[in-house]
Amino acid sequence: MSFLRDQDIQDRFNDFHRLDYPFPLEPNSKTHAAGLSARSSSLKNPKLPLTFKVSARSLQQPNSLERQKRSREETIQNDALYYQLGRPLSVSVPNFKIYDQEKEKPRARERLAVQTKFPEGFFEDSSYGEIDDLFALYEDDSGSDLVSSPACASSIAALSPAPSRISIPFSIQALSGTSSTAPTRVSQQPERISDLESARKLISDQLKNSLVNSTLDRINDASLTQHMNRFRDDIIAEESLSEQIPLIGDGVASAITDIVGPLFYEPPVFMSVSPNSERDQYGFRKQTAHVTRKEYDSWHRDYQLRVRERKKKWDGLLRENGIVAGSFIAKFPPKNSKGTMLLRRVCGLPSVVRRYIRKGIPPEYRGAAWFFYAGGPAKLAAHPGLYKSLVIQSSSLHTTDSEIIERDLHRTFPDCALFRPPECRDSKLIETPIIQALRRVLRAFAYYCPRVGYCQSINFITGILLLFMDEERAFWMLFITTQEYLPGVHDVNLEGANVDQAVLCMLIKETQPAIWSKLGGGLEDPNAQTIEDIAVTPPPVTLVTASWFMSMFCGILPWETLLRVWDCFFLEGSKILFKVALTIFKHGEQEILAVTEPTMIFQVVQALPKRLINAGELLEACFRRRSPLGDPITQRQVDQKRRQVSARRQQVQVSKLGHGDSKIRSKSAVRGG
Amino acid sequence: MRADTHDIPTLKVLLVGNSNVGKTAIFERFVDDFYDPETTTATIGVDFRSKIVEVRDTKVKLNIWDTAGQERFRSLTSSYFRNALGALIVFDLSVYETFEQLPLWFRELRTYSSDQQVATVVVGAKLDKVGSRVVNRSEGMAMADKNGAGYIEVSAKTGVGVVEAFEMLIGRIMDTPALWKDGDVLARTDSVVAVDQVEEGTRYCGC
Repeated sequence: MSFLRDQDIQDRFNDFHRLDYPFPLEPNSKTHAAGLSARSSSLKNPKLPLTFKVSARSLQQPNSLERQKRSREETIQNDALYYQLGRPLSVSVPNFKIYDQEKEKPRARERLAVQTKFPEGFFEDSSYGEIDDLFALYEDDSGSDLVSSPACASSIAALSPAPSRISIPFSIQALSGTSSTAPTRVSQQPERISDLESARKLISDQLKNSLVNSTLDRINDASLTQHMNRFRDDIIAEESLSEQIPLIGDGVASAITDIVGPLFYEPPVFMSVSPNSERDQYGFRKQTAHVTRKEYDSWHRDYQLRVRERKKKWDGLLRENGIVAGSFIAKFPPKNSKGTMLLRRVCGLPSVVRRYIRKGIPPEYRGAAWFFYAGGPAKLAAHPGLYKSLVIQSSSLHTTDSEIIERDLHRTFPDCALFRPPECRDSKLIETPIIQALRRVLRAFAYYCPRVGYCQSINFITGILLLFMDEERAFWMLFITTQEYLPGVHDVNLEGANVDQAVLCMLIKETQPAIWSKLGGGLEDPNAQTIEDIAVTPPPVTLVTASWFMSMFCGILPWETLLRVWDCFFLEGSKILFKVALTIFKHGEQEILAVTEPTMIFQVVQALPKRLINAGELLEACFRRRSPLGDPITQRQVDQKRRQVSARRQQVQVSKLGHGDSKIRSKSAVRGG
Repeated sequence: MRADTHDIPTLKVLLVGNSNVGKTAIFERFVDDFYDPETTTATIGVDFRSKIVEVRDTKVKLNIWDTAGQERFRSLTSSYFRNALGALIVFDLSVYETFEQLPLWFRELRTYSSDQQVATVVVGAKLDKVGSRVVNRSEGMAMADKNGAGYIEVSAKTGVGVVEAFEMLIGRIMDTPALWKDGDVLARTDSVVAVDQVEEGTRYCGC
């Protein structure tokens, strides 16, 4: 798989032309072929110092605070590193440097030293930047476009005085340059390159093996350098490749250790946005195909006031419970707090916490509250350091899952500015920190839970989690969700999804018989009306509702509604998904009953939830006492029905196998690519 | 007009193929004439839409099922392959693996679409990515020929070939007597009431 294609390279050239580039620049066949931006060779006058403006926008910031903010926002995708490291690598460059190409065209081994010659603060003050010659610097003297990835890593370290702004998708991965992402087009000298590739792979494999059981915290500069050089020596001895593998200097490891800290993804701090903004505070578009801007605005006007009110109430609740609101609150009031037991028994009122949560957790406390009520702290405490070591172990795995993950990263909320900055909506080259964290979490999870591996839809779940918590917590939340809340739903055979859909059908049949007559009417087998039959052959509409459950309504409900549903879900369990689904059906009753053509049911049911922007209304309907849905659905009922369906499905499967009817169960041979 | 729509035969067609080959983009380009990179996400389960088109002076209503590509979803989606008259089998012109898996998709269709023959068209997608193409046209055509399918290359991004792909599929359905003349298709004509409001605006409303 190659990330950079001809079109992409052409686009990059075009981008550079748009900037204030003082030199005539022509795509040159060699740089083209290599995909590197070693464009110094195509400059008409290489003797001039390279002082072109990289981005007028980023450099003309009079206010240093503002500039800092901007530079953090500007993640610049580095083509060369993309190639060298085999992984997209994004560098937030606080400023750019001046670099005289002629004076400093170092040999590979001397590069690190040259880099460190720059005085501190030098980069910060220069108002002109240079990105391209960074690549030029790493163009091998021999003309090969390949340079060592460690050198690149350290160069980036040297480039930026603030290492916290460097982010590399994971150190070990970055160093490995795995063949999976190695571009095919660099193959001008195939035999050499393949040697280098394998050499790199050897280094990284050995390094990884030695690190597998250590947590990242224990990696330090000296040990890493030592490790890497030892492997390097071995490889050189075996393959006589000394020319191509420069000695690994201290800078490399320090770059990596610097990287390891900030690499750890932290969720963004959400600011309220202007009412005129096209996007909401999370970076999602206010207007969608199903909700007009006017509808959004008229709902949001009141809603934001209510959110502020709730925040005050929550602050009060936390204070009463002696909880100091911090950045990520570790402890919330227990589910059944505040002697409301009596009240609850007599009047059937839910506990305070439950009521508060049903009315919405303030965005500031959301991630922490989800984590706490889902039982995250216990998981985290029971497995210290596990996530980090999983990240290392899974970082260079190459499996079908990892391939699909890689392809899905850029297909996860491309409409959200945090995932894909709006200014590069057509480009996959920009990789935001949240996407990098998403990669690590999904890979680590697929490695840790092979029963699930990677199931499309958990990318959405993880994406939302990462908006509200750091990556380690998101990992554990994903684990809890797929193993405890929705068991089997994302398993390779999706058995849990089938079970839950049958349970949903049973609930619809019990509570909304009129709607069921419509939905069940689309059954392939018209006789399949009994609960037992539904368990085995759920009606076609479950193809739609299955996606509701698998993605936990991500991309189905409008964002705020989604978050409010999740608030309740993590406190109260999977019954919430069933309740919400039933409420959606109830809400669309008229529309569903009006449909006369069976296949149109799909279209109607698909569109129903996407319009439900009024989060409060939906949840009120969901929890209304003496609701038209009849008795409230308890988690116990849901679990009981799950067992019932599950048993029935197993029974049928056994009898089918007995009859040798293997056609239906035959595993498909097609691999989801 | 209402009488017209009553007589429109309904064809159930599928979009199948590996994950991320561009099935949904083709689907959206065809149904809404719309392409937006901000909406490209993996399909979970299926997407369903219908559209009325005219091919060879005959109006037909296409019920299009856009299926999820990841293997595990097949246990959910394959049961809905039944009664499908045609399928677009999509692969990515720039990812060879998706081309190599075409035979498996043909097998999958044969297995799950009951006993009837299914008209198929192999669709090479992402034609716009000129430089990264790894499957050439003759190779694609040979593969399609071998499996008795049509072959077309399309770009959902530019719109090239998308309508033609569906037209080719409908043509092949019409040319397959077992699918078309049997009365099988006509027998499945649904009584259409609300459909047109979806596809053709309010033109037929209230009549």
